[in-house]
Amino acid sequence: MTLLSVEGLRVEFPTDEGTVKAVDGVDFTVDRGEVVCLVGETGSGKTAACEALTRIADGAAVAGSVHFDGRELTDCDDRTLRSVRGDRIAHVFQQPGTSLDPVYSVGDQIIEAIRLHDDASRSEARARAISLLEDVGIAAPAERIDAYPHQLSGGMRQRVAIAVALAADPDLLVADEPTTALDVTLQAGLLELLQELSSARDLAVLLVTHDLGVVAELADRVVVLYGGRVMERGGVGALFDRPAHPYTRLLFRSLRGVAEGTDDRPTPADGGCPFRSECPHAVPDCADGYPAFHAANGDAGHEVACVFYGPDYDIATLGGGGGS
Amino acid sequence: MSGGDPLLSVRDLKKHYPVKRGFLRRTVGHVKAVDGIDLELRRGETLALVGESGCGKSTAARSLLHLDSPTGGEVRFDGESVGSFDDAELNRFRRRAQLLLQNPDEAFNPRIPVGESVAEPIDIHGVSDAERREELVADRLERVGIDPETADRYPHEFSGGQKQRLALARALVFDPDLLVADEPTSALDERVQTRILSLLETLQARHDLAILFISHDIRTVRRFCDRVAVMYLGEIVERGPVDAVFEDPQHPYTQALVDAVPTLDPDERGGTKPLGGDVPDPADPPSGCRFHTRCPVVIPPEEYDIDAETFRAVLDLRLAVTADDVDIQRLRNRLDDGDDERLRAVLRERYGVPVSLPDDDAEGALSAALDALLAGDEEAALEQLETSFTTVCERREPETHETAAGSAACHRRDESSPF
Repeated sequence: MTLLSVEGLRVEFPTDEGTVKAVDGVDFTVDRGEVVCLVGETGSGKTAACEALTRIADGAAVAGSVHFDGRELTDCDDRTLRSVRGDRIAHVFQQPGTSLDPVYSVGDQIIEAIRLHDDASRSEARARAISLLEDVGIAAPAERIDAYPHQLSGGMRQRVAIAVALAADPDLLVADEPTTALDVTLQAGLLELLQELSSARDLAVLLVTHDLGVVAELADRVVVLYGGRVMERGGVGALFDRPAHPYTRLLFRSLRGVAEGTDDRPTPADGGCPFRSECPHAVPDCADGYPAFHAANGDAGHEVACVFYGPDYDIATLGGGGGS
Repeated sequence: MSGGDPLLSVRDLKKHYPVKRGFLRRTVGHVKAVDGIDLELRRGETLALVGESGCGKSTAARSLLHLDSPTGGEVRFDGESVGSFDDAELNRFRRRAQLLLQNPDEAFNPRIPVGESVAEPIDIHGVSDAERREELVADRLERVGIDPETADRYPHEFSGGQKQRLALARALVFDPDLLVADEPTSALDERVQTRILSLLETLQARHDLAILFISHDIRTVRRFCDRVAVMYLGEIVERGPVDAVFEDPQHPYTQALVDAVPTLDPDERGGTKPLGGDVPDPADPPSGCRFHTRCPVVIPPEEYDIDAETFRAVLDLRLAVTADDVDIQRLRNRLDDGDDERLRAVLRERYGVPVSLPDDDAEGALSAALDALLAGDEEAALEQLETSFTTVCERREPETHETAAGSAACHRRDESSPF
């Protein structure tokens, strides 16, 4: 069942050098209990897109539709939005420090989060906080609950940040690069935890990452972003077996050590395919409006926004796959 | 790879930091960040130093460059002992051995044009010829693929990848022989990483540069490096050629690092159990093999017939009791005063200990310890666990054994070991 449905999402930031379109028309959905990964590089708009869901970024102008569990969030007033944020949609960030306050103990922060959304007594909330810490894999939760964030390791802090996020029993967890700052050993454990939480609590997870390894471990479905647009989306199996978009193929080739492209910043959104300046196959049509979505390789739900998959071109021109 | 004497040779390098407490700041112990490591690096070669955060990789880099003075050991560079260098010699050494950091922003002042920042080392080392200076900067920018025409721009006008290229240009100003690269690509996007690594490879081949590559990213190391030294809590536990080490790890820690790398194949997800726990406190490293508190194949006591996985679980329970992490009273409350039978079962389950150990003597000892624990006598429980469940891994430091392609320090490779 669809929990979140995002349509035509646009996010703009005012800067000294004019307005920057971070997201320029993005569609995706997340079902209950499902893990969807937004994959993209710096500047792809992945973070702006997920921060726009509950409008947590200051100064961003958000347009389009964000439909969450029967409610249109873009029309909501600030009060309603605040209650959705945290209560129904919780966020976890790359640096666990972003979600945790250094001057309060771990327990105080979880207890506050519980009591903000539920009128539990302090002792009830404390008991629940301890069992939440246990759920996220913190050993000796009854002792650690009185620890301060700086007394915990990076891996434990990220687990605590997840416990805070889960305090109000949300339906959707939005996790922005939650494992990027961690070692591989800790990353593996944290991905396993997110997987367990998703199935045990029927929790939908929207995971933002640049790491295809993380996607392979966790995603049910994948949305590939570049320059504020969706390049390709589909089930994780189909997308890894047969990546369709020239950009996605480039990503996989890079993982095999093939160095291509330049370190220039992507060209700003201008209505054409944002990838065309880097694309080895670009044709004049790529500048003629945003490419429409076409079925990719005949896999159900696997779609690609590239003119080569339209009726006027032959996908054979793109050459072989490039998947995992 | 060139033959001949190593460019860099590190013997028994140590870096200990005093831990000070109280009003008088008395030294109460030492953090053994680097605790006796050996490294050798030849011209044109890339050696990787890998391990988790907190294992001492970056401290090793700084002390071998004498940016922080080592506590002990010797660093030889091109045949000479760096420790005996006078100021002039040390200056010369610093020109020939450069450090490249993870975050290029640390190398650049946002208010100074990038060309000036790249030229800064020239000014420090006193080259005053303006024309020569400009030539040098332009040449180094070209080498790293940055248009010299952009030298008067400011850092914020460049992408993350371009900034790392600029940092590299700056490190290459004096044509160093050695580049110590500390996680140079881990903050960058995948495709940018690949391009920077490819650039490093080109430059290395052209200038016969020796690179010490510090990283926690096994995939990058496999792609880019010749040999690898795996570091855990200040010590090197395994070394050898990258392919041999990562295809057939001889140390359980290396195996755990390899297992933690995501497969990139959605059909094979969640294959192996992730390594538990964090890197222990280097101020108080575990006895014997420092990895024994986390090792998935820690060696069981000879007197029992139990496998490594079961013993790992029992040892985890023992270490939790030692750390005072087992709170019987709270557990009782949570189980609504559940009976002791239930409590025992929950405790076993929490640490993955089977309902009954397959060896009768071992089971007898464990049951006795759990009884003591439930009776509130933690001391007796701990004594029982510590006398009945010990391992050679905690009693003796492992020797370093030759392996097919390198070496590894693990008791499982001892001749007397049944494994």
